[in-house]
Amino acid sequence: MKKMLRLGLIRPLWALSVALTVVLALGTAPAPASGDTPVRTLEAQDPEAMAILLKMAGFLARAPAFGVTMRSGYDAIQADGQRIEFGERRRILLQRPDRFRVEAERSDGDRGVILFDGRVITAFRVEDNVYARVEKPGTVDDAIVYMVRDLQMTLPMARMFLTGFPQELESQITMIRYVEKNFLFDVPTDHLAVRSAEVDLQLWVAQGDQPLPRRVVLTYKNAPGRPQFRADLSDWDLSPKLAADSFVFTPPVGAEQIPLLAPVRRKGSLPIQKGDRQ
Amino acid sequence: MTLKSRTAALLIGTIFLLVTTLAGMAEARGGGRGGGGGFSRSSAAGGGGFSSRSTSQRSAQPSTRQAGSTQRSAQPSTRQAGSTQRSAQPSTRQAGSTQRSVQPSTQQAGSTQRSAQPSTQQAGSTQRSAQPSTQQTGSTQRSAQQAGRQESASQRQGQRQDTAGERQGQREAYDQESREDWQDHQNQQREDWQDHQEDSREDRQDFYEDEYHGGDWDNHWHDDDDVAEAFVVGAAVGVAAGAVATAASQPTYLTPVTTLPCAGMAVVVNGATYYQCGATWYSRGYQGNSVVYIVSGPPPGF
Repeated sequence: MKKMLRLGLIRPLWALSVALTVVLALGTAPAPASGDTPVRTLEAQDPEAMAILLKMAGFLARAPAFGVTMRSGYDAIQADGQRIEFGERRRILLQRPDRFRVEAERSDGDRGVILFDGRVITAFRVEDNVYARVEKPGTVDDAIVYMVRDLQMTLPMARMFLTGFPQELESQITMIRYVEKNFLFDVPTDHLAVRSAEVDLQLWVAQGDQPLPRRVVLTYKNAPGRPQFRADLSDWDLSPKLAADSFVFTPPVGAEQIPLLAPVRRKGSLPIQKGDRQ
Repeated sequence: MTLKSRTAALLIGTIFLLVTTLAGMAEARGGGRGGGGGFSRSSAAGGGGFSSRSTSQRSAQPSTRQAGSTQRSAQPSTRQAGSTQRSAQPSTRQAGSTQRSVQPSTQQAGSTQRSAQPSTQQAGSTQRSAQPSTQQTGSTQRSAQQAGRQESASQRQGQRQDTAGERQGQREAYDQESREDWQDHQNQQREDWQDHQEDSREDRQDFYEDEYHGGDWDNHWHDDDDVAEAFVVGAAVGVAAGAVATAASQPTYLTPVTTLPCAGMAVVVNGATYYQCGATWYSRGYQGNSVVYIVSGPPPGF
């Protein structure tokens, strides 16, 4: 009910925000542009593209369960500037409200599994045969944010798995445009070009009654070397077969439980200028 | 004869296998993390987040993992020493103690002396008993050193052979001194603790300011050099349990290394694996997407 209400409000709200932006832009005409932060303009917005994007996001956010395979690659810009791609493959199984399983394999063979059963997050490294766990009772949303933000585990496009995905997108987007209708997938897709302050996003969304993302390209335009993250999303399954032990971790023979560490990052080699705050 | 040579061959084969396996493990550890052929896997795009913190604060080039891990493994036991060593670390502590102390210069001098030259302490206490007026300065120094106090106590014992009246006076002075000592000690401890708390809070604030900036929670690319510390979440298990017993109330900060500084002889005690490098023992922890090593102290029985 609440969701329907929210979705119903999105378009009018969007129009309102666009109108407001225009008014503000006119009112403060030569506003000092801070850096290269994109400014929202009417020309840059494409209501049709926005509708496709939000339809996709809403569809995923409302799905009670799904499975998907993510075959991804990213650029690692080397010290000498050379661009090297590293790959990963993940099978993601998610059952709302409180279960998920991610199996990940890296291009160098390194494999890991992360499980959440509504109560405990378990992370397992296959080659090392070690696992770590932490109690984190809550929803899939809670666990994913905790995992990615606090434990700094990698889950590409983590926001895509949250029930707040549409809102997450809306809060980030500064520009959206429709590129073309793409015929190279097994179904026709809509190719969207989206921009945020820090990331350029391209999405290919399947047309039809299952508007699922089929390919994603992220460009980190402010990072040195402008590295990209690319992922093909395949084997979507909206009613995945869930075995009784899909989300339960049974330690293999000889597996050792080790402590789970949450990193605390500091500003590297730069001295911390705490004195300046006084 | 044939049996003997076959056994020898088997033995050699086993040793060879073991050595190559160990070498392979080491390669997988170091090489795998750093990328095959010395390429770095580290990337701003690696996390696949929808956001990315502005990189202006970061150093311009992502340094290779190997460089990072060498640096890091050079100081594996930093945390072990706890607050004493932390005070040696540059800006954080210094700023903290400046803010905290009423008499910054005295405090600073006191704490430096305290940790660096314990012998000065004794000089301080001797001075003190001779000239009660310098007590203010002396007591700051004194408070950290129990040994100093003991010495002054024995000195006082000698003085007690004087007249009763004097003795009475002395005892009063002594009582007062001990009380002051104790108070000083308490104050110092409280300040240390507050300092520690403050530091942790500031650190955490830094962390949040960095990570929560504009809803930016899904991209954690940093230079490897940025990885300073980690703390154990949830219930401590296995070998780290002893080291992080206080995790519940106040996290114990550890300095993990991604690679062991040596080939690392592995020992399994009570189902937990320890690695020895020289006099230092390591155990494993799970951080981010990989296994890291933390200084653990020797396993039971070693």
